[in-house]
Amino acid sequence: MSGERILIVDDNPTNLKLLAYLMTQQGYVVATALDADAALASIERDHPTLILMDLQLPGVDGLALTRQLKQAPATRDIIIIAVTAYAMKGDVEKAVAAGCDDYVTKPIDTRRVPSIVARHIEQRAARGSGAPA
Amino acid sequence: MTVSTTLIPLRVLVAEDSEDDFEILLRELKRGGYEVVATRVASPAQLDAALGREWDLVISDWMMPGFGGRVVLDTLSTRGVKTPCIVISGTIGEEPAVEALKAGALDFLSKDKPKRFAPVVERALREAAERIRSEEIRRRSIELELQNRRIQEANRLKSEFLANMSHELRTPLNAIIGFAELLHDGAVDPATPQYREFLGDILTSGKHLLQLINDVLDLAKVEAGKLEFRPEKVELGKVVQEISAILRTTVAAKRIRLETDLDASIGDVFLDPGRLKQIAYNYLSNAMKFSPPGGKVTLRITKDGDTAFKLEVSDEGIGIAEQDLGKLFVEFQQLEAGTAKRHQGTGLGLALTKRLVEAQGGAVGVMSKVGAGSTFFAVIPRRVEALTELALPRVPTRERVRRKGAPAVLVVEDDAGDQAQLVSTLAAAGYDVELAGTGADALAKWRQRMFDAVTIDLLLPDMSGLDLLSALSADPRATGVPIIVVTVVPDTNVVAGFAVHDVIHKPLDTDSLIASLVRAGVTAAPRGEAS
Repeated sequence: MSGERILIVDDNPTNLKLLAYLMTQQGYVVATALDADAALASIERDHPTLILMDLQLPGVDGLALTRQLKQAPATRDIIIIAVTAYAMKGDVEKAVAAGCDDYVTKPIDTRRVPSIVARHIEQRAARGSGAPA
Repeated sequence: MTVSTTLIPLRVLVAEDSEDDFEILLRELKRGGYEVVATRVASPAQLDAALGREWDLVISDWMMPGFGGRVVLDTLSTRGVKTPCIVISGTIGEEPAVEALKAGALDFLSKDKPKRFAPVVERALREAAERIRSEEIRRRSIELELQNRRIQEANRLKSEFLANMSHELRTPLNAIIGFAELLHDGAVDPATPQYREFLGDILTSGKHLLQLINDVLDLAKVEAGKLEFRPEKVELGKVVQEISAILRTTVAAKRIRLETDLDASIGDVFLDPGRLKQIAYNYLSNAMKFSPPGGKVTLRITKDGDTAFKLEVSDEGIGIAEQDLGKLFVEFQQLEAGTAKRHQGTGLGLALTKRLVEAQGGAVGVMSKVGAGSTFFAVIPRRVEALTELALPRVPTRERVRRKGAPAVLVVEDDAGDQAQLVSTLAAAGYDVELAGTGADALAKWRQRMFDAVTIDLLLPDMSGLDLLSALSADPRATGVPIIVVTVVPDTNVVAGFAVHDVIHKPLDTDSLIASLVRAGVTAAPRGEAS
């Protein structure tokens, strides 16, 4: 669903650029952040529908940030998809335990990621349509 | 009738003031089946002197004027002598017996029961042997326990390294595959500047990946003790010049003021110049990375005692917090504080530098203060021994005949892309290039004229590169002509045994090819410059 706000958090500028281009192309309104502080500021400013979250960030990492967002009433509705280069056993479990709604491993499949994002946004819209905003 | 019995050899030190009692003791021991070598001591000084030798057993009288069992036992214990000791006495009371046993005596003998001497000695020796054995077992089990912990720790570090490695490889691959997919799928309009920008991102990430792989391979090789060190007489001044030349582009791009300071009194050193450059390069490129534009970076080489020298690189960068200094030389421990993470690197450079220096018998270190810059240093012995027999044989330096014109290089390469790259690189650097696409072609061209250097790809269509190497080596005209192997084969050992000047891996780094030729003494004036 185009027009939805998406925040991309990644400490690697090149990878940030890749995801930002990919999501902009799908018609989303994209914001980016290189670390947890910038991400929080962006979320405060314009509450995104979905976050593509790199798990390894300087300072507060993506797992901690996810936990924080999923615990706060104001932000727990934001869909969080972990995008991470950690692909060892146990990493998925850690992401899910922290509250991530889905998990994508780097290198990402640029053909699949848009459909994963779209599916989550559609599901949220379908579920949320009857409830008050 | 002769009774043949095997006597047990026994070296016994006897502390005894009575000569008679000593004789009785010896007689009883001999009767008990011991072949005795004995020395009698009657004063602490004599005891001290006698303990310089090895003994199987010490037997000490309990009461002696100015001497005694107590003194003997204490002396044994303070000197750390583990020899078993038996106390002997004329008057056997319970209290001295307990005292003797507490002080370390194995048993107690009464002088009025000489028949008991030999059996008690036998039992004492057996007990002592058992004690030693059980101590040995205990020691070994502690050793095993420690070893086990070390292995577990190493295993944990290996897993952590693998996880980090996987992460570090995936990060540039994400950009390479992601952008390539976008371009390939036609998702980016070739007419837009983004198209070129994304291609640039793929290229940069690819180079980063290559650097990562090279660093990891080097790291693994140092760890396995397989990294080649080829020590030779090195002029430090020349090394400093060459490093400055390699870094010229970065220096210019960031307007770094690179200053070099070489203590001329060091004189020549004997080590692998390539490894030294690698060490200096790692430190310098780090210093530049963390320097503000226009900042000053200093490379200083000074004497460090008579047998070593110190290579120091200082910058005026952001500096490092004290608690982070310990992480610096550890793999993948890029500091996360503040802006540090934004500085791209493989996270392996310093770890590799440390191992390179240590493998040459040196040591690394760092001094830093937040906001006041950092100084990294390496202390390296002036004479580094060759550390591996896998080292390539050096081509003896020949008297270079100065010929007119540009030096001629025969390039043996079958891949069209690599051909173009090699030819254009070498031609631009001012070399006279002749190209051969096959082994047969190479041999034909080799016979037609003289070459100053040859580059050979190991994978050729008509013959193995190794066969070509043998054919060239057999030709007396090839003596002293540097041969540089340019190959995708990662294992340098395949050319061990051949007179190869250098091995350069593909994808080709054009700078290192030129640097290799320059090292071999084959220099050219770049195109456009007066020759």
